[in-house]
Amino acid sequence: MLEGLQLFGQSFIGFMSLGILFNVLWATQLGIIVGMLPGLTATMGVALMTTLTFRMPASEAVLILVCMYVGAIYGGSRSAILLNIPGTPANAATAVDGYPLAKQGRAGRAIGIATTGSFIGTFIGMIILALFTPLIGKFALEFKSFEFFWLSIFGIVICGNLTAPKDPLKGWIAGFLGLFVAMIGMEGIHAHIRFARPGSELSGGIALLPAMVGAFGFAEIISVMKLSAYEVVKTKIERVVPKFVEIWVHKWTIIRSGIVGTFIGAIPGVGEDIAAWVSYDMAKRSSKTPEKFGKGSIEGLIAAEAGNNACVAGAMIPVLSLAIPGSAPAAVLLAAMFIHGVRPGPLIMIEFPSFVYEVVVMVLLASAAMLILGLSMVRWLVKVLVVPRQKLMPIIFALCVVGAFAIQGRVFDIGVMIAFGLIGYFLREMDYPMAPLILGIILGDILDKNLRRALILSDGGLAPFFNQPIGLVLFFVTLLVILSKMKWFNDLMGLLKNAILSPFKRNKGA
Amino acid sequence: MDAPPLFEEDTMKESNMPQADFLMSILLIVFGITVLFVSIGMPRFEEMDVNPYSVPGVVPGFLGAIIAVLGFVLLIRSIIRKGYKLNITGRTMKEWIRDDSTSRFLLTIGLCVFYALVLIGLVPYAVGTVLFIFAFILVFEYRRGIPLREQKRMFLGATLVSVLSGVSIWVLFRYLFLVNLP
Amino acid sequence: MKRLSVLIVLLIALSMASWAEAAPDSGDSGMWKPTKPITIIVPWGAGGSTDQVTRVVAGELEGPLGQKVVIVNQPGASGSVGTKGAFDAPHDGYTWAAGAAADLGAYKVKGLLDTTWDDWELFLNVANVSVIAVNVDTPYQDFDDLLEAFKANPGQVPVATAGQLSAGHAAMEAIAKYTGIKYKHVTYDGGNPAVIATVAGEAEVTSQLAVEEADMLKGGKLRALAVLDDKPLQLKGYGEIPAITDWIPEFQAAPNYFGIWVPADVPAEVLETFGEIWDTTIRDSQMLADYAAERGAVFSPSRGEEAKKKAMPFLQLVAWNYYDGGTAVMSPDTVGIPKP
Repeated sequence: MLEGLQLFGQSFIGFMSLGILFNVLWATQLGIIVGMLPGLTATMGVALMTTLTFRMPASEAVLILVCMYVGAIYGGSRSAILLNIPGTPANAATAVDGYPLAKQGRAGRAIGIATTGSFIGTFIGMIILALFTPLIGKFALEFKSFEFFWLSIFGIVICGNLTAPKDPLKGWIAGFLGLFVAMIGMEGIHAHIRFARPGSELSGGIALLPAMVGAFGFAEIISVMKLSAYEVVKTKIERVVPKFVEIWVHKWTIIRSGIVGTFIGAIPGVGEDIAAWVSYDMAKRSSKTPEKFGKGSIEGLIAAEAGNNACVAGAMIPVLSLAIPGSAPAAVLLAAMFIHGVRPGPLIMIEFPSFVYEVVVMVLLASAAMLILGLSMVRWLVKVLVVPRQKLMPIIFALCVVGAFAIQGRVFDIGVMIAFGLIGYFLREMDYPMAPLILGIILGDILDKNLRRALILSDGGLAPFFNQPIGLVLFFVTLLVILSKMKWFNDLMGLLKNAILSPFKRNKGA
Repeated sequence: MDAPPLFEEDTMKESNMPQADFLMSILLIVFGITVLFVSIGMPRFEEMDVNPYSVPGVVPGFLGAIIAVLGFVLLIRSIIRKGYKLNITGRTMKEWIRDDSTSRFLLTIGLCVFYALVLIGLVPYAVGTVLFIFAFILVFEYRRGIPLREQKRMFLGATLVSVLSGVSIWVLFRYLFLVNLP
Repeated sequence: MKRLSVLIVLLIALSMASWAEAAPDSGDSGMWKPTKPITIIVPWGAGGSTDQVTRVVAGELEGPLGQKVVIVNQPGASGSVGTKGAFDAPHDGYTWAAGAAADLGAYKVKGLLDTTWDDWELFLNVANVSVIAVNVDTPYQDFDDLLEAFKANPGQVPVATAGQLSAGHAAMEAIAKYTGIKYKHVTYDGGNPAVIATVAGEAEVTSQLAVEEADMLKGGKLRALAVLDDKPLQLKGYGEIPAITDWIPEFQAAPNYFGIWVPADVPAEVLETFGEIWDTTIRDSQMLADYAAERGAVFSPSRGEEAKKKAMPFLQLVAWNYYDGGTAVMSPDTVGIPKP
């Protein structure tokens, strides 16, 4: 604990330079703009920013990405309040009460409250992040090859499950296709080149970043251009900075939403939007005035925003400790860490002990910047909403191209970006989510080496895959996730429940 | 409480989904089985006395098998939903082509792919980017039937946006990130 | 009027474009002044021997170069993935690779990568020795116990190393040559993961380098049985590790040199500048000397032909051990590595 505090202090001092604080401000501001604009998601923003920060030292680059992420999730509340269009899916719950407030002419107040709620939510999440992530270090050495194998399978299954709630089968297919993509190129034990001609461009493998920029950037550009245009509503903005009393009366709602949001974020594969809905729902249930919810309730607005922003910090917990992202933007953030040579996972407290605390400081800086920027410059920023997409999208695409190219200076990577954008677009049209595909590319190497290592250790036996406690838990959770999506399994569970709860009734029925 | 989908996007008409699944599942099965066989054919390095479980084909073979199995599940499901009845007729095609969103979609892809794969190799990066952004804005903001003179503002806006953003992207990467652009 | 100004902006932009293409960074003769950060690819995981010493070296280089030196970990296939990455990058002096000189020299013999020492200019820093260490919970108290176990269960005792071509594997192959033992070879992404796996109990033995095992030895998580050298190793904070010649008197040992390298055909001023830095800053580096003393390495910088000469004995031993053990794809003397 004391050591943790010391590492936290060191990281904090390490980030206290003018250049870095300047980076924090512009990255958060850019994140807010990305979050505000419908069509630009937090995922796309983080993916593009990864290419822009590729040449920076790891900690500075990740700091900018965290600012982008926090800013974008918060920024989405703007368009949710002003346009009734959530800037990112995470802000859908914000729109429910934020837009009615704006229609009542209280847009400024709503923005101020949403900003403060977001800040306190992130802050609570940050504290939990700092306390819980190092705990995983205690289990680090329990993670051996068998556990890493199950961890990568578990990551794919749960990510596929939750990013494709309507049809998880497609999420899993996308995940396994991603794992396959990682197999292309030189393999990590014998240096054999798989699925490519030696010497060809493909033999170097498919780089993560161009694939990611294609799947989240180009594919999204196509989707946005296909949709019909949205209308901009004119609103007047009055006082933004909220009164202290307004926040204080809702202190329990904020704290509860912050804690709930963080823990939902920490569940691998559950995103910010679910966190927002759950904390909104809980606030409504415990509210003294539930009838106001949906008609401009301050309490509902603050619950939704505290919830989805706390989730950002919560999502860092599985990213750092298990290398399993809690949401699509977190998946991209994880990818960026890998690109910068930081390997999150159970061994992070051994291999990169100070990194966890650096991330805590990053979240703190980002949320502070968010509070400052969110309460100032409101009137000016609203103008961004009127930028039409046909002016914005070609610029974004030019950034996609140059970003894909910049990393290794290979024209081949532009082709990879285009290919993943087109394939990604068509897969998305058919309801295949992209996050598990990208996660698959990240986890493919871990799966490859650990499965083979595990088989060497067990001499091809399968028993050790199932007789270690952590591996067994991961296996059962994976199995349960898959089974819970099967109709017959749920029917069976329903029957069992009936059988246990009301045997008498059943007997009578029979 | 019902959770909304994580990704807001317009998806294919629900009625077409089983057909798409049917085609996709066949593709996946063929792909999975091909991967499996290619993996089995990978070298075993027996002459170098390596552990047989460490050979390169193990994991891709495993993945190929899983992809084929998942494809098979999708196939069965699409057959139950009558996905094998592909109704690609002249009428449905015509509807698709005349749909406004289809033309926007094809134009976007066409412009982007041409810029990324052809234009950049042909002209210096900055010029190509300015041209691309200008053309993109023009294509989507040009209104047919209105005399050119009345669309002057649009031309000016497009020029301004494309030059400013194209040049600043180029300067940013060339001088700040020190990337040697093509 | 407005249109005219737009046209002017466009013209300025275009002329700037052509000017920039025409004026590449022209280095004046003599000292090379890098204009952007220099990347050293460590083709192994973080925390391993190469990673540790390269980070110290990078810190020492930044001052005289006046640029940031960025370390990128790119592990995979015994360092060949990252090494290939460095060779595929433009040969302009901005991308380097790091590792053990003997690994670089043996890639071709092992069939991992088509490259030899002739393609590179070497700048070496420290020499490392392998230490046979076991998890403290295993019953092996000395090297004899371990040899007994290898002989009693051929191919069953798991040994963790950093890969098919790594200091750890070379050490085990050498022991196998002298004793005829068989072991279960388990490979990881680097020396540090291999050591951690041994501490975790996934493998019983590791044959990686002293610098990688030092922390775990001092922390009481590993027990050192023998050092692959003809004299014992004094490790500060742990004690004396007996020499393997106590058990295998005829064991031949040579120092295993580590360093950084760059394709030999980079601009001449890059090599000159680095040579200059190597002969002054690196040779006098207190940081490197302290690092070596702390973790059981020998600080002995060299460069160019001298470096290749110093590292050759170990490469000869390693390459021929692989060849004699049947795990090489060609005879080492075909690529200029004579039999020791």
